[in-house]
Amino acid sequence: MASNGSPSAPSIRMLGASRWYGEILGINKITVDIQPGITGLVGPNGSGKSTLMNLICGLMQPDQGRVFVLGEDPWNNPALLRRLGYCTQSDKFYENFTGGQFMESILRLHGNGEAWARRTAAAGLERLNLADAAHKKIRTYSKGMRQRVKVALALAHEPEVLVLDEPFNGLDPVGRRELIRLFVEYGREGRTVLVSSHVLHEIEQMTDRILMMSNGYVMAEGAVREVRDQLRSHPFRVLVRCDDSRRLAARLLEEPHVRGVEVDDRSLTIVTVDPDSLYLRLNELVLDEDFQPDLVTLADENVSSIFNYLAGREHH
Amino acid sequence: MTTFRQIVALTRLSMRRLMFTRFMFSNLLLASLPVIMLVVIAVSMKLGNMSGPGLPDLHQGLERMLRFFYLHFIIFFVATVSGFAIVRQDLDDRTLHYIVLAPVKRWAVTISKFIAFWILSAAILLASYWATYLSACLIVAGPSATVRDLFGEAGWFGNLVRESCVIVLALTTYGAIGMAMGSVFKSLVFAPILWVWEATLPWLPAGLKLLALSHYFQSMLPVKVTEKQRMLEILADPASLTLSLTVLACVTAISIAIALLVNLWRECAYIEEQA
Repeated sequence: MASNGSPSAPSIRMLGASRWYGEILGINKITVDIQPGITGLVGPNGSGKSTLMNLICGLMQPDQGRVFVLGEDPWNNPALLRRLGYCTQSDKFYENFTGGQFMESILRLHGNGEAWARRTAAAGLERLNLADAAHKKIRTYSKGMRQRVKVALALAHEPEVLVLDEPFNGLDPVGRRELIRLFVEYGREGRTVLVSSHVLHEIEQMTDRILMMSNGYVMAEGAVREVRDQLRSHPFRVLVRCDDSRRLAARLLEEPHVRGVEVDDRSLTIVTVDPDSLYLRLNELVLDEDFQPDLVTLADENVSSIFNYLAGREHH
Repeated sequence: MTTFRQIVALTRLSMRRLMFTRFMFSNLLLASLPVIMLVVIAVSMKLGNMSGPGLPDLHQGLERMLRFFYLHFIIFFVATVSGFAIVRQDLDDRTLHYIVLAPVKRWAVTISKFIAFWILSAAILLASYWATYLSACLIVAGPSATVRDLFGEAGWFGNLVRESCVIVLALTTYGAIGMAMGSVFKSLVFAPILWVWEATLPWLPAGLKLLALSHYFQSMLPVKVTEKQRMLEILADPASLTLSLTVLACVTAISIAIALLVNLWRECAYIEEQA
Protein backbone atom coordinates (compact mmCIF):
# COMPACT_ATOMS: atom_id res chain seq x y z
CA MET A 1 0.00 0.00 0.00
CA ALA A 2 1.46 3.32 -1.02
CA SER A 3 1.81 5.89 1.68
CA ASN A 4 4.20 8.45 0.32
CA GLY A 5 1.57 11.05 -0.44
CA SER A 6 2.47 11.23 -4.14
CA PRO A 7 -0.36 12.40 -6.40
CA SER A 8 -1.11 8.87 -7.56
CA ALA A 9 -1.17 7.34 -4.09
CA PRO A 10 -4.53 7.47 -2.36
CA SER A 11 -4.33 8.89 1.15
CA ILE A 12 -7.49 7.07 2.10
CA ARG A 13 -8.56 3.73 0.69
CA MET A 14 -11.70 1.79 1.56
CA LEU A 15 -12.09 -1.71 0.22
CA GLY A 16 -15.61 -3.10 0.49
CA ALA A 17 -16.08 -1.46 3.89
CA SER A 18 -19.43 -2.09 5.55
CA ARG A 19 -20.76 -1.12 8.94
CA TRP A 20 -24.10 -1.83 10.59
CA TYR A 21 -25.64 -0.62 13.84
CA GLY A 22 -27.53 -3.73 14.80
CA GLU A 23 -29.95 -4.13 11.92
CA ILE A 24 -29.52 -0.57 10.71
CA LEU A 25 -27.13 -0.06 7.85
CA GLY A 26 -24.41 2.56 8.31
CA ILE A 27 -22.46 2.09 5.11
CA ASN A 28 -22.49 -0.84 2.71
CA LYS A 29 -19.58 -2.27 0.70
CA ILE A 30 -17.90 1.02 0.01
CA THR A 31 -14.81 0.86 -2.16
CA VAL A 32 -13.25 4.21 -2.75
CA ASP A 33 -9.86 5.94 -3.07
CA ILE A 34 -9.39 9.49 -1.82
CA GLN A 35 -6.39 11.41 -3.14
CA PRO A 36 -4.52 14.32 -1.55
CA GLY A 37 -6.33 17.65 -1.95
CA ILE A 38 -9.88 18.47 -0.93
CA THR A 39 -12.67 15.97 -1.40
CA GLY A 40 -16.24 16.84 -0.53
CA LEU A 41 -18.48 14.22 1.01
CA VAL A 42 -22.06 15.14 0.26
CA GLY A 43 -25.40 13.55 0.85
CA PRO A 44 -28.56 13.96 2.87
CA ASN A 45 -28.61 13.49 6.64
CA GLY A 46 -28.41 9.81 7.55
CA SER A 47 -26.67 8.87 4.33
CA GLY A 48 -23.62 7.41 6.12
CA LYS A 49 -21.17 10.30 5.91
CA SER A 50 -20.32 10.30 9.62
CA THR A 51 -19.97 6.51 9.69
CA LEU A 52 -17.53 6.67 6.82
CA MET A 53 -15.50 9.36 8.58
CA ASN A 54 -15.53 7.51 11.90
CA LEU A 55 -14.17 4.43 10.16
CA ILE A 56 -11.45 6.48 8.47
CA CYS A 57 -10.41 8.00 11.80
CA GLY A 58 -10.43 4.74 13.72
CA LEU A 59 -13.32 5.58 16.04
CA MET A 60 -15.04 2.46 14.77
CA GLN A 61 -14.13 -0.73 12.97
CA PRO A 62 -15.76 -1.95 9.78
CA ASP A 63 -17.88 -5.09 10.10
CA GLN A 64 -16.59 -6.12 6.69
CA GLY A 65 -13.87 -4.86 4.38
CA ARG A 66 -10.76 -2.82 5.11
CA VAL A 67 -9.90 0.82 5.62
CA PHE A 68 -6.45 2.29 5.05
CA VAL A 69 -5.24 5.80 5.83
CA LEU A 70 -1.77 6.69 4.57
CA GLY A 71 -1.35 2.98 3.99
CA GLU A 72 -2.19 1.94 7.56
CA ASP A 73 -5.19 0.52 9.35
CA PRO A 74 -6.53 3.40 11.50
CA TRP A 75 -8.06 1.19 14.22
CA ASN A 76 -6.02 1.37 17.45
CA ASN A 77 -3.14 3.05 15.62
CA PRO A 78 -1.74 5.90 17.78
CA ALA A 79 1.17 6.51 15.39
CA LEU A 80 -1.26 7.24 12.57
CA LEU A 81 -3.29 9.58 14.78
CA ARG A 82 -0.29 11.93 14.87
CA ARG A 83 -0.80 12.37 11.12
CA LEU A 84 -4.59 12.58 11.26
CA GLY A 85 -6.96 15.31 12.44
CA TYR A 86 -10.69 14.82 12.88
CA CYS A 87 -13.32 17.43 13.60
CA THR A 88 -16.37 15.40 14.60
CA GLN A 89 -19.97 16.50 14.44
CA SER A 90 -20.30 16.08 18.20
CA ASP A 91 -20.84 19.29 20.15
CA LYS A 92 -19.63 17.91 23.48
CA PHE A 93 -16.73 19.48 25.34
CA TYR A 94 -15.16 19.67 28.78
CA GLU A 95 -17.51 22.49 29.66
CA ASN A 96 -15.63 23.55 32.81
CA PHE A 97 -12.42 24.14 30.87
CA THR A 98 -11.51 27.34 29.09
CA GLY A 99 -10.83 27.09 25.37
CA GLY A 100 -7.09 27.34 26.06
CA GLN A 101 -7.15 24.70 28.81
CA PHE A 102 -9.17 22.37 26.63
CA MET A 103 -6.81 22.64 23.66
CA GLU A 104 -3.72 22.38 25.83
CA SER A 105 -5.01 19.38 27.80
CA ILE A 106 -5.75 17.41 24.65
CA LEU A 107 -2.53 18.42 22.92
CA ARG A 108 -0.50 17.31 25.96
CA LEU A 109 -1.70 13.80 25.16
CA HIS A 110 0.60 13.86 22.14
CA GLY A 111 3.47 13.50 24.60
CA ASN A 112 5.51 16.32 23.07
CA GLY A 113 5.85 18.21 26.33
CA GLU A 114 3.95 21.02 28.00
CA ALA A 115 5.73 23.85 26.19
CA TRP A 116 4.83 22.38 22.80
CA ALA A 117 1.22 21.85 23.89
CA ARG A 118 0.92 25.41 25.17
CA ARG A 119 2.51 26.91 22.08
CA THR A 120 0.47 24.76 19.68
CA ALA A 121 -2.79 25.43 21.52
CA ALA A 122 -2.20 29.18 21.42
CA ALA A 123 -1.30 29.11 17.73
CA GLY A 124 -4.33 26.93 16.93
CA LEU A 125 -6.74 29.26 18.69
CA GLU A 126 -5.09 32.28 17.06
CA ARG A 127 -5.53 30.70 13.62
CA LEU A 128 -9.27 30.35 14.23
CA ASN A 129 -9.57 33.88 15.69
CA LEU A 130 -10.26 32.56 19.17
CA ALA A 131 -7.24 34.03 20.96
CA ASP A 132 -9.40 36.56 22.81
CA ALA A 133 -11.73 33.81 24.02
CA ALA A 134 -8.97 31.44 25.11
CA HIS A 135 -9.47 32.31 28.78
CA LYS A 136 -13.25 31.98 28.78
CA LYS A 137 -15.03 28.80 29.80
CA ILE A 138 -16.26 26.75 26.88
CA ARG A 139 -19.77 26.65 28.35
CA THR A 140 -20.01 30.39 27.61
CA TYR A 141 -19.05 29.94 23.93
CA SER A 142 -21.51 30.45 21.11
CA LYS A 143 -22.25 27.61 18.71
CA GLY A 144 -19.90 29.15 16.15
CA MET A 145 -17.06 29.45 18.67
CA ARG A 146 -17.50 25.85 19.76
CA GLN A 147 -17.35 24.80 16.14
CA ARG A 148 -14.13 26.77 15.65
CA VAL A 149 -12.53 25.22 18.75
CA LYS A 150 -13.14 21.77 17.28
CA VAL A 151 -11.61 22.80 13.97
CA ALA A 152 -8.66 24.42 15.79
CA LEU A 153 -8.02 21.19 17.68
CA ALA A 154 -8.21 19.07 14.52
CA LEU A 155 -5.75 21.38 12.72
CA ALA A 156 -3.41 22.18 15.62
CA HIS A 157 -0.88 19.40 15.09
CA GLU A 158 -0.75 20.04 11.32
CA PRO A 159 -2.06 16.61 10.25
CA GLU A 160 -1.43 15.20 6.80
CA VAL A 161 -5.02 13.99 6.61
CA LEU A 162 -7.77 16.26 7.87
CA VAL A 163 -11.31 14.90 8.23
CA LEU A 164 -14.09 17.42 8.89
CA ASP A 165 -17.65 16.37 9.61
CA GLU A 166 -20.06 19.22 8.89
CA PRO A 167 -17.54 21.89 9.97
CA PHE A 168 -19.76 24.79 8.87
CA ASN A 169 -22.66 23.97 11.22
CA GLY A 170 -23.57 26.96 13.33
CA LEU A 171 -21.16 29.34 11.63
CA ASP A 172 -22.19 32.73 10.28
CA PRO A 173 -21.40 33.53 6.61
CA VAL A 174 -18.14 35.30 7.53
CA GLY A 175 -17.03 32.36 9.64
CA ARG A 176 -17.88 29.96 6.83
CA ARG A 177 -15.88 32.01 4.34
CA GLU A 178 -12.87 32.06 6.65
CA LEU A 179 -13.00 28.31 7.19
CA ILE A 180 -13.39 27.64 3.49
CA ARG A 181 -10.30 29.77 2.81
CA LEU A 182 -8.40 27.90 5.52
CA PHE A 183 -9.32 24.46 4.15
CA VAL A 184 -8.50 25.50 0.58
CA GLU A 185 -5.03 26.64 1.71
CA TYR A 186 -4.58 23.40 3.58
CA GLY A 187 -5.53 21.34 0.54
CA ARG A 188 -3.19 23.35 -1.69
CA GLU A 189 -0.29 22.34 0.54
CA GLY A 190 -0.77 18.80 -0.74
CA ARG A 191 -2.55 17.50 2.34
CA THR A 192 -5.70 15.45 2.20
CA VAL A 193 -8.88 17.16 3.33
CA LEU A 194 -12.14 15.22 3.46
CA VAL A 195 -14.99 17.52 4.34
CA SER A 196 -18.65 16.60 4.64
CA SER A 197 -21.65 18.80 4.23
CA HIS A 198 -25.27 18.43 3.31
CA VAL A 199 -25.04 21.85 1.63
CA LEU A 200 -23.53 21.27 -1.79
CA HIS A 201 -22.63 24.84 -2.64
CA GLU A 202 -20.32 25.02 0.38
CA ILE A 203 -18.39 22.08 -0.99
CA GLU A 204 -18.36 23.53 -4.49
CA GLN A 205 -16.58 26.62 -3.16
CA MET A 206 -13.69 24.43 -2.02
CA THR A 207 -13.43 21.64 -4.52
CA ASP A 208 -14.88 20.12 -7.63
CA ARG A 209 -14.21 16.61 -6.36
CA ILE A 210 -17.05 14.99 -4.45
CA LEU A 211 -18.27 11.70 -3.12
CA MET A 212 -22.02 11.46 -3.20
CA MET A 213 -23.61 9.24 -0.55
CA SER A 214 -27.11 8.01 0.01
CA ASN A 215 -28.51 5.29 2.26
CA GLY A 216 -25.04 3.99 3.10
CA TYR A 217 -23.87 3.72 -0.49
CA VAL A 218 -21.55 5.88 -2.56
CA MET A 219 -23.95 6.89 -5.32
CA ALA A 220 -21.35 8.64 -7.42
CA GLU A 221 -17.89 10.13 -7.25
CA GLY A 222 -15.84 12.57 -9.28
CA ALA A 223 -16.33 16.16 -10.37
CA VAL A 224 -19.68 17.72 -9.48
CA ARG A 225 -20.64 17.89 -13.18
CA GLU A 226 -19.70 14.26 -13.74
CA VAL A 227 -21.70 13.21 -10.72
CA ARG A 228 -24.73 15.03 -12.03
CA ASP A 229 -24.31 13.22 -15.34
CA GLN A 230 -23.90 9.87 -13.57
CA LEU A 231 -27.11 10.44 -11.70
CA ARG A 232 -28.90 11.50 -14.87
CA SER A 233 -28.28 8.04 -16.29
CA HIS A 234 -29.46 6.46 -13.05
CA PRO A 235 -32.80 4.67 -13.67
CA PHE A 236 -35.74 6.13 -11.75
CA ARG A 237 -38.91 4.29 -10.83
CA VAL A 238 -42.14 6.21 -11.34
CA LEU A 239 -45.43 4.92 -9.95
CA VAL A 240 -48.62 5.73 -11.86
CA ARG A 241 -52.09 4.72 -10.63
CA CYS A 242 -54.62 4.61 -13.42
CA ASP A 243 -57.69 2.52 -14.45
CA ASP A 244 -56.36 1.73 -17.90
CA SER A 245 -52.91 0.72 -16.71
CA ARG A 246 -52.18 -1.93 -19.36
CA ARG A 247 -52.92 0.37 -22.29
CA LEU A 248 -50.84 3.15 -20.71
CA ALA A 249 -47.96 0.71 -20.19
CA ALA A 250 -48.04 -0.25 -23.85
CA ARG A 251 -47.92 3.40 -24.90
CA LEU A 252 -45.03 4.25 -22.56
CA LEU A 253 -42.94 1.29 -23.66
CA GLU A 254 -42.61 3.02 -27.02
CA GLU A 255 -40.60 5.81 -25.41
CA PRO A 256 -36.79 5.48 -25.78
CA HIS A 257 -36.04 6.58 -22.20
CA VAL A 258 -38.33 3.93 -20.68
CA ARG A 259 -36.38 0.84 -19.71
CA GLY A 260 -39.22 -1.28 -18.39
CA VAL A 261 -42.75 -1.32 -16.99
CA GLU A 262 -44.33 -3.45 -14.27
CA VAL A 263 -48.12 -3.59 -14.47
CA ASP A 264 -50.74 -4.35 -11.81
CA ASP A 265 -54.53 -4.11 -12.11
CA ARG A 266 -54.72 -0.43 -11.27
CA SER A 267 -51.13 0.74 -11.29
CA LEU A 268 -47.86 0.54 -13.16
CA THR A 269 -44.27 1.20 -12.21
CA ILE A 270 -42.17 2.67 -14.99
CA VAL A 271 -38.38 2.48 -15.01
CA THR A 272 -36.93 5.48 -16.84
CA VAL A 273 -33.59 7.24 -17.14
CA ASP A 274 -35.28 10.58 -17.84
CA PRO A 275 -38.18 11.29 -15.47
CA ASP A 276 -38.66 14.83 -16.84
CA SER A 277 -39.35 13.45 -20.34
CA LEU A 278 -41.64 10.83 -18.85
CA TYR A 279 -43.71 13.47 -17.06
CA LEU A 280 -44.02 15.47 -20.29
CA ARG A 281 -45.13 12.38 -22.19
CA LEU A 282 -47.65 11.48 -19.51
CA ASN A 283 -49.15 14.96 -19.79
CA GLU A 284 -49.45 14.52 -23.54
CA LEU A 285 -51.13 11.13 -23.11
CA VAL A 286 -53.59 12.54 -20.59
CA LEU A 287 -54.56 15.31 -22.99
CA ASP A 288 -54.51 13.33 -26.26
CA GLU A 289 -55.69 9.86 -25.28
CA ASP A 290 -57.84 10.60 -22.24
CA PHE A 291 -55.91 8.65 -19.63
CA GLN A 292 -57.01 9.58 -16.10
CA PRO A 293 -54.13 8.85 -13.69
CA ASP A 294 -55.01 9.65 -10.09
CA LEU A 295 -51.41 9.35 -8.84
CA VAL A 296 -48.01 10.00 -10.44
CA THR A 297 -45.01 9.84 -8.10
CA LEU A 298 -41.37 8.86 -8.01
CA ALA A 299 -41.20 5.48 -6.32
CA ASP A 300 -37.59 6.02 -5.32
CA GLU A 301 -37.74 9.16 -3.17
CA ASN A 302 -34.10 9.06 -2.12
CA VAL A 303 -32.76 9.07 -5.61
CA SER A 304 -35.22 11.78 -6.40
CA SER A 305 -34.09 13.94 -3.53
CA ILE A 306 -30.44 13.49 -4.43
CA PHE A 307 -31.09 14.28 -8.02
CA ASN A 308 -33.01 17.40 -7.05
CA TYR A 309 -30.31 18.26 -4.61
CA LEU A 310 -27.56 18.01 -7.18
CA ALA A 311 -29.66 19.77 -9.75
CA GLY A 312 -30.11 22.61 -7.28
CA ARG A 313 -33.87 22.19 -7.10
CA GLU A 314 -33.99 21.98 -3.32
CA HIS A 315 -33.95 24.88 -0.94
CA HIS A 316 -31.07 24.57 1.45
CA MET B 1 9.49 8.78 27.53
CA THR B 2 6.63 9.87 25.26
CA THR B 3 4.28 7.25 26.70
CA PHE B 4 5.26 8.29 30.23
CA ARG B 5 4.52 11.93 29.41
CA GLN B 6 1.18 10.90 27.89
CA ILE B 7 0.27 8.92 31.02
CA VAL B 8 1.13 11.91 33.22
CA ALA B 9 -0.88 14.25 31.00
CA LEU B 10 -3.88 11.94 30.87
CA THR B 11 -3.73 11.30 34.62
CA ARG B 12 -3.82 15.04 35.25
CA LEU B 13 -6.66 15.51 32.79
CA SER B 14 -8.67 12.65 34.30
CA MET B 15 -8.14 13.89 37.86
CA ARG B 16 -9.23 17.34 36.88
CA ARG B 17 -12.33 16.03 35.18
CA LEU B 18 -13.18 13.63 38.02
CA MET B 19 -13.04 16.48 40.51
CA PHE B 20 -15.96 18.15 38.74
CA THR B 21 -18.26 15.13 38.69
CA ARG B 22 -21.29 14.78 40.94
CA PHE B 23 -19.72 11.61 42.30
CA MET B 24 -16.85 13.59 43.78
CA PHE B 25 -19.21 15.74 45.82
CA SER B 26 -20.93 12.67 47.30
CA ASN B 27 -17.53 11.07 47.98
CA LEU B 28 -16.30 14.11 49.87
CA LEU B 29 -19.51 14.21 51.86
CA LEU B 30 -19.23 10.52 52.69
CA ALA B 31 -15.57 10.81 53.67
CA SER B 32 -16.23 13.73 55.99
CA LEU B 33 -19.06 11.93 57.83
CA PRO B 34 -16.86 10.32 60.54
CA VAL B 35 -15.30 13.65 61.53
CA ILE B 36 -18.71 15.29 61.59
CA MET B 37 -20.05 12.43 63.71
CA LEU B 38 -17.17 12.71 66.16
CA VAL B 39 -17.64 16.43 66.56
CA VAL B 40 -21.38 15.96 67.18
CA ILE B 41 -20.66 13.24 69.78
CA ALA B 42 -18.02 15.38 71.49
CA VAL B 43 -20.29 18.40 71.66
CA SER B 44 -23.16 16.27 73.01
CA MET B 45 -20.94 14.76 75.71
CA LYS B 46 -19.63 18.16 76.71
CA LEU B 47 -23.13 19.61 76.94
CA GLY B 48 -24.30 16.61 78.97
CA ASN B 49 -21.18 16.63 81.20
CA MET B 50 -20.61 12.99 80.27
CA SER B 51 -17.21 11.36 80.54
CA GLY B 52 -15.81 9.76 77.38
CA PRO B 53 -13.48 6.81 76.92
CA GLY B 54 -9.82 6.97 77.83
CA LEU B 55 -7.14 7.09 75.17
CA PRO B 56 -6.37 3.35 75.37
CA ASP B 57 -10.01 2.48 74.69
CA LEU B 58 -10.17 5.05 71.98
CA HIS B 59 -7.90 3.25 69.63
CA GLN B 60 -9.96 0.11 69.78
CA GLY B 61 -13.04 2.21 69.11
CA LEU B 62 -11.39 3.71 66.07
CA GLU B 63 -10.38 0.28 64.88
CA ARG B 64 -14.00 -0.82 65.04
CA MET B 65 -14.99 2.28 63.15
CA LEU B 66 -12.48 1.32 60.50
CA ARG B 67 -13.76 -2.25 60.34
CA PHE B 68 -17.46 -1.54 60.18
CA PHE B 69 -17.90 1.99 58.95
CA TYR B 70 -14.90 2.66 56.73
CA LEU B 71 -14.31 -0.73 55.13
CA HIS B 72 -17.93 -1.69 54.67
CA PHE B 73 -19.28 1.70 53.79
CA ILE B 74 -17.04 4.66 53.08
CA ILE B 75 -14.12 2.93 51.34
CA PHE B 76 -16.40 0.57 49.45
CA PHE B 77 -18.60 3.31 48.03
CA VAL B 78 -15.91 5.93 47.44
CA ALA B 79 -13.72 3.38 45.62
CA THR B 80 -16.36 1.61 43.53
CA VAL B 81 -18.16 4.84 42.63
CA SER B 82 -14.95 6.68 41.70
CA GLY B 83 -13.56 3.67 39.84
CA PHE B 84 -16.82 3.46 37.93
CA ALA B 85 -16.95 7.20 37.26
CA ILE B 86 -13.38 7.45 35.99
CA VAL B 87 -14.29 5.19 33.07
CA ARG B 88 -17.86 6.31 32.54
CA GLN B 89 -17.29 10.07 32.61
CA ASP B 90 -16.03 10.24 29.02
CA LEU B 91 -18.74 7.90 27.79
CA ASP B 92 -21.57 9.61 29.64
CA ASP B 93 -20.35 13.08 28.62
CA ARG B 94 -19.76 11.79 25.10
CA THR B 95 -16.26 13.22 25.07
CA LEU B 96 -14.34 9.96 24.74
CA HIS B 97 -13.41 10.75 21.13
CA TYR B 98 -11.07 13.53 22.24
CA ILE B 99 -8.94 10.94 24.03
CA VAL B 100 -9.37 8.17 21.47
CA LEU B 101 -8.32 10.53 18.68
CA ALA B 102 -5.16 11.50 20.57
CA PRO B 103 -2.11 9.38 19.76
CA VAL B 104 -2.23 7.48 23.05
CA LYS B 105 -2.17 3.71 23.36
CA ARG B 106 -5.43 2.34 24.72
CA TRP B 107 -3.77 0.53 27.61
CA ALA B 108 -2.14 3.80 28.64
CA VAL B 109 -5.56 5.47 28.69
CA THR B 110 -6.96 2.85 31.07
CA ILE B 111 -3.90 2.83 33.31
CA SER B 112 -3.82 6.65 33.46
CA LYS B 113 -7.42 6.72 34.49
CA PHE B 114 -6.80 4.17 37.20
CA ILE B 115 -3.85 6.18 38.53
CA ALA B 116 -6.01 9.33 38.53
CA PHE B 117 -8.74 7.54 40.45
CA TRP B 118 -6.20 6.06 42.86
CA ILE B 119 -4.47 9.36 43.71
CA LEU B 120 -7.74 11.23 44.28
CA SER B 121 -9.43 8.47 46.26
CA ALA B 122 -6.37 7.73 48.38
CA ALA B 123 -6.06 11.42 49.20
CA ILE B 124 -9.72 11.64 50.22
CA LEU B 125 -9.83 8.42 52.24
CA LEU B 126 -6.50 8.80 54.02
CA ALA B 127 -7.24 12.42 54.83
CA SER B 128 -10.60 11.34 56.16
CA TYR B 129 -9.20 8.55 58.34
CA TRP B 130 -6.28 10.57 59.71
CA ALA B 131 -8.59 13.51 60.39
CA THR B 132 -10.96 11.16 62.20
CA TYR B 133 -8.10 9.66 64.20
CA LEU B 134 -6.61 13.00 65.18
CA SER B 135 -10.00 14.55 65.96
CA ALA B 136 -10.90 11.64 68.20
CA CYS B 137 -7.57 11.82 70.05
CA LEU B 138 -7.83 15.58 70.45
CA ILE B 139 -11.39 15.32 71.70
CA VAL B 140 -10.39 12.74 74.32
CA ALA B 141 -7.03 14.20 75.34
CA GLY B 142 -8.08 17.84 75.07
CA PRO B 143 -6.43 20.73 73.29
CA SER B 144 -3.19 20.29 75.23
CA ALA B 145 -2.61 16.81 73.82
CA THR B 146 0.99 15.81 73.22
CA VAL B 147 2.38 13.71 70.41
CA ARG B 148 2.45 10.78 72.85
CA ASP B 149 -1.28 11.35 73.53
CA LEU B 150 -1.97 11.29 69.85
CA PHE B 151 0.08 8.30 68.85
CA GLY B 152 0.50 6.53 72.21
CA GLU B 153 3.24 4.24 73.28
CA ALA B 154 1.91 0.83 72.35
CA GLY B 155 2.66 0.97 68.64
CA TRP B 156 -0.27 3.20 67.78
CA PHE B 157 1.65 4.95 65.06
CA GLY B 158 2.60 1.60 63.56
CA ASN B 159 -1.04 0.61 63.70
CA LEU B 160 -2.06 3.83 62.00
CA VAL B 161 0.40 3.15 59.19
CA ARG B 162 -0.83 -0.43 58.82
CA GLU B 163 -4.45 0.72 58.84
CA SER B 164 -3.60 3.26 56.17
CA CYS B 165 -2.07 0.50 54.07
CA VAL B 166 -5.25 -1.56 54.42
CA ILE B 167 -7.30 1.47 53.37
CA VAL B 168 -5.12 1.91 50.28
CA LEU B 169 -5.33 -1.80 49.47
CA ALA B 170 -9.09 -1.76 49.85
CA LEU B 171 -9.56 1.27 47.65
CA THR B 172 -7.24 -0.26 45.04
CA THR B 173 -9.19 -3.51 44.87
CA TYR B 174 -12.67 -2.03 45.10
CA GLY B 175 -11.65 0.73 42.67
CA ALA B 176 -10.40 -1.82 40.14
CA ILE B 177 -13.72 -3.67 40.45
CA GLY B 178 -15.56 -0.35 40.02
CA MET B 179 -13.51 0.39 36.92
CA ALA B 180 -14.27 -3.03 35.46
CA MET B 181 -17.97 -2.44 36.16
CA GLY B 182 -17.77 0.98 34.51
CA SER B 183 -16.13 -0.58 31.47
CA VAL B 184 -18.77 -3.28 31.07
CA PHE B 185 -22.01 -1.77 32.44
CA LYS B 186 -23.71 1.57 31.96
CA SER B 187 -24.90 1.88 35.55
CA LEU B 188 -23.72 1.00 39.03
CA VAL B 189 -26.53 -1.51 39.43
CA PHE B 190 -24.17 -4.28 40.55
CA ALA B 191 -22.46 -2.19 43.25
CA PRO B 192 -25.28 -2.67 45.82
CA ILE B 193 -25.24 -6.42 45.14
CA LEU B 194 -21.50 -6.51 45.71
CA TRP B 195 -21.95 -4.38 48.82
CA VAL B 196 -24.48 -6.81 50.32
CA TRP B 197 -22.13 -9.66 49.44
CA GLU B 198 -19.17 -7.93 51.07
CA ALA B 199 -21.09 -6.85 54.15
CA THR B 200 -22.81 -10.19 54.74
CA LEU B 201 -20.24 -12.85 54.03
CA PRO B 202 -17.77 -12.01 56.81
CA TRP B 203 -20.49 -12.97 59.30
CA LEU B 204 -20.90 -16.38 57.76
CA PRO B 205 -18.98 -19.61 58.46
CA ALA B 206 -15.30 -19.77 57.65
CA GLY B 207 -15.61 -21.40 54.23
CA LEU B 208 -17.95 -18.70 52.94
CA LYS B 209 -15.91 -15.89 54.40
CA LEU B 210 -13.13 -16.71 52.03
CA LEU B 211 -15.36 -15.53 49.17
CA ALA B 212 -15.58 -11.98 50.52
CA LEU B 213 -12.81 -9.46 49.96
CA SER B 214 -13.73 -7.67 53.17
CA HIS B 215 -12.62 -10.78 55.09
CA TYR B 216 -9.07 -10.31 53.83
CA PHE B 217 -9.05 -6.60 54.64
CA GLN B 218 -10.30 -7.37 58.14
CA SER B 219 -7.61 -10.03 58.53
CA MET B 220 -4.86 -7.52 57.88
CA LEU B 221 -5.95 -4.97 60.46
CA PRO B 222 -3.55 -4.76 63.41
CA VAL B 223 -5.80 -4.54 66.47
CA LYS B 224 -7.57 -7.73 67.51
CA VAL B 225 -11.03 -7.57 68.94
CA THR B 226 -11.23 -8.50 72.62
CA GLU B 227 -13.22 -11.36 74.14
CA LYS B 228 -15.90 -9.07 75.54
CA GLN B 229 -16.62 -7.76 72.07
CA ARG B 230 -17.16 -11.28 70.82
CA MET B 231 -20.60 -10.42 69.47
CA LEU B 232 -19.02 -8.05 67.03
CA GLU B 233 -16.08 -10.22 66.22
CA ILE B 234 -15.89 -11.25 62.64
CA LEU B 235 -12.30 -12.40 62.68
CA ALA B 236 -12.84 -15.84 64.08
CA ASP B 237 -10.63 -17.29 61.36
CA PRO B 238 -8.41 -14.53 59.97
CA ALA B 239 -6.65 -15.28 56.72
CA SER B 240 -2.87 -15.16 56.63
CA LEU B 241 -1.20 -12.02 55.28
CA THR B 242 0.21 -13.96 52.32
CA LEU B 243 -3.16 -15.41 51.37
CA SER B 244 -4.86 -12.02 51.82
CA LEU B 245 -2.35 -10.18 49.63
CA THR B 246 -2.43 -12.92 46.98
CA VAL B 247 -6.22 -12.93 46.75
CA LEU B 248 -6.45 -9.14 46.64
CA ALA B 249 -3.69 -8.88 44.02
CA CYS B 250 -5.43 -11.48 41.84
CA VAL B 251 -8.85 -9.79 42.08
CA THR B 252 -7.30 -6.39 41.34
CA ALA B 253 -5.30 -7.73 38.38
CA ILE B 254 -8.33 -9.53 36.91
CA SER B 255 -10.51 -6.42 37.27
CA ILE B 256 -7.91 -4.18 35.63
CA ALA B 257 -7.42 -6.74 32.85
CA ILE B 258 -11.19 -6.72 32.16
CA ALA B 259 -11.17 -2.91 31.99
CA LEU B 260 -8.11 -2.95 29.72
CA LEU B 261 -9.62 -5.49 27.33
CA VAL B 262 -13.02 -3.82 27.12
CA ASN B 263 -11.50 -0.39 26.57
CA LEU B 264 -9.05 -1.75 24.01
CA TRP B 265 -11.98 -2.67 21.78
CA ARG B 266 -14.28 0.19 22.68
CA GLU B 267 -15.71 2.21 19.81
CA CYS B 268 -17.03 5.77 19.91
CA ALA B 269 -20.38 4.76 18.44
CA TYR B 270 -22.20 7.55 20.27
CA ILE B 271 -20.95 10.05 17.69
CA GLU B 272 -22.97 8.29 15.04
CA GLU B 273 -26.03 8.26 17.30
CA GLN B 274 -25.77 12.03 17.59
CA ALA B 275 -25.32 12.62 13.89
